[in-house]
Amino acid sequence: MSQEIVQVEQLRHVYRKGKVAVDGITFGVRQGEIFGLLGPNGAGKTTTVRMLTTILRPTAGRAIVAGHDVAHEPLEVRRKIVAVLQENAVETLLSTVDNLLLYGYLHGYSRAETRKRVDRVIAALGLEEHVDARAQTLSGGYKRRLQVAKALMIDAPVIFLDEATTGMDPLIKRRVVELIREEAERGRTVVLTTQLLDEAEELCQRMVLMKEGKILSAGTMTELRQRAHKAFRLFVRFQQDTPDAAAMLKALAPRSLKTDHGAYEITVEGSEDRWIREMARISERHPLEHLEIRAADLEQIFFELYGDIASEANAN
Amino acid sequence: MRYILAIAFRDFRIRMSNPVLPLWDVLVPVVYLLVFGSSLERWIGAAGSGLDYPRFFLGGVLSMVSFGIVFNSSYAFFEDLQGGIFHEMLTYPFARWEMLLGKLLFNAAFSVVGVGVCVAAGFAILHINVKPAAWLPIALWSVVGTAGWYYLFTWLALSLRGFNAYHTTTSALYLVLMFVSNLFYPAQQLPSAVRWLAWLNPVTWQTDLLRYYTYPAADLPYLPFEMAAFVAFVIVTFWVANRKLNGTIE
Repeated sequence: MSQEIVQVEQLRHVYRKGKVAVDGITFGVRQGEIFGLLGPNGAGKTTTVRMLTTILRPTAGRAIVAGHDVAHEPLEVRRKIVAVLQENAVETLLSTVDNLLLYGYLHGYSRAETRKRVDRVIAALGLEEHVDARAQTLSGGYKRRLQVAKALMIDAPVIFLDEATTGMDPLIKRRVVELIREEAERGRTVVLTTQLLDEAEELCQRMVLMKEGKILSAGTMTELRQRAHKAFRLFVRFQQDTPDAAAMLKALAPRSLKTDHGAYEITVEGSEDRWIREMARISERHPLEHLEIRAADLEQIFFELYGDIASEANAN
Repeated sequence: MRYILAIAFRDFRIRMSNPVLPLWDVLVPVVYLLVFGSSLERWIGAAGSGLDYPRFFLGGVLSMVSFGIVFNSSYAFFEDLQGGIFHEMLTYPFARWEMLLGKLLFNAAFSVVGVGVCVAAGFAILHINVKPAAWLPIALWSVVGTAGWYYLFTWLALSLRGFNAYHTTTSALYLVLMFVSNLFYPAQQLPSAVRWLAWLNPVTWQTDLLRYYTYPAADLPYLPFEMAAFVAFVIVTFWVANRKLNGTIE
């Protein structure tokens, strides 16, 4: 098992007006891992990242990043990280290329080295189109791309990405996901916050789900599934779709039921054996053409833990 | 040092993205010098005060240069704070004090240019001859003054919440600091209540330090105290700004 490059123990942050944004969270991130901080707005993800990147001082607890304590050795931490925090954290009065050049200089690179890195990330993220346009004229998605390009310019071992792919078009998002994976394969550690469940499921090896400053659940997707109250999705198609067959499915009181041209998708809780028995019973009266049982995906786990908030998060 | 230079370069690039604003920062004190210097000279000269007003006012204008440049720069700082780039910069691999010094470096260099333009304009149009031996001390006190004002306004930008609060506070401060001082007129001639406030105003201290070099005949009885007070002012403002930057900025 890889060594933990980020260690968080009982970390807490209380804002000046008394709001507890992060309430005693503990987790670790292994070197070379893509780690997700998930949760809806106000969950405490951004505050956690702000503490780990030395912007905010923890009120209590401890966080070690790349061997240095964020509260007592903030400069050493900053020399080991690169952080992309918000879409609007760009130099609005400067062009795309000048934003990147300045970012290189501010991270201590020489002019020649910076130029080389800028050319590389411009090509990697397809930024050529508006390279000379002022950042204030760029779309939100393009600004996000610029932000990710900044992170990829720097060789720091730990990358923090706060809602990195929000607003990107799908093709670019795909490219960014690939680049993040490549960075992790090179041994860099990526900590990302997101509300996009499909992105987290696709990218993150492990994750924590946060709500109101606390960690509700943590682990790999498999571990989260096991803890998610045994939620399953059943995909059912009858040989003959009749109102009685549909009524029998409804009578099972599933948590959700979707139907599409005679194909049913129901979300249920309980043991897998129980649902196999139930479907066998229904099939005696209404023979099945197709039955598939799938374990919960991240969206269902979210639904399990947060209730309706999950659907809001996906809508965002 | 490379980080300090990079931060100064960053501020240079941002300010130069609209060259009219820095030009304005330099031109305003020159216009003050030329308009007030020539018009009030006739009025005060006619009153028989014996004051060489253009020469007297030059010290005030030089003080105004660093104060005005910092006042306008602090808005850029506040905008960075509101926009998000400021928080991102807090994650860059340099110390907070390096950030402050880098920002000061740009503003100080800009102040020296502004002061040079004012001295040149005073010589060319109002025939105020400032001896070359005084140029270096004038530049030095302009830099020191810029530092004090920059750190004070940085601390305000980091402490105040919302643009309205910031704008109201700094605008009020600007007026009070400029007019309740010896910048436009000798502090000794102010009404007694206001006079004491003027003596406690760092603008007065900086103006007297600069006036010592631009108007050697000026009556400056408290200069050593003003020098000590002004240096203390710069140290204290640096300390509070650095402390604020190192602490929690929410």
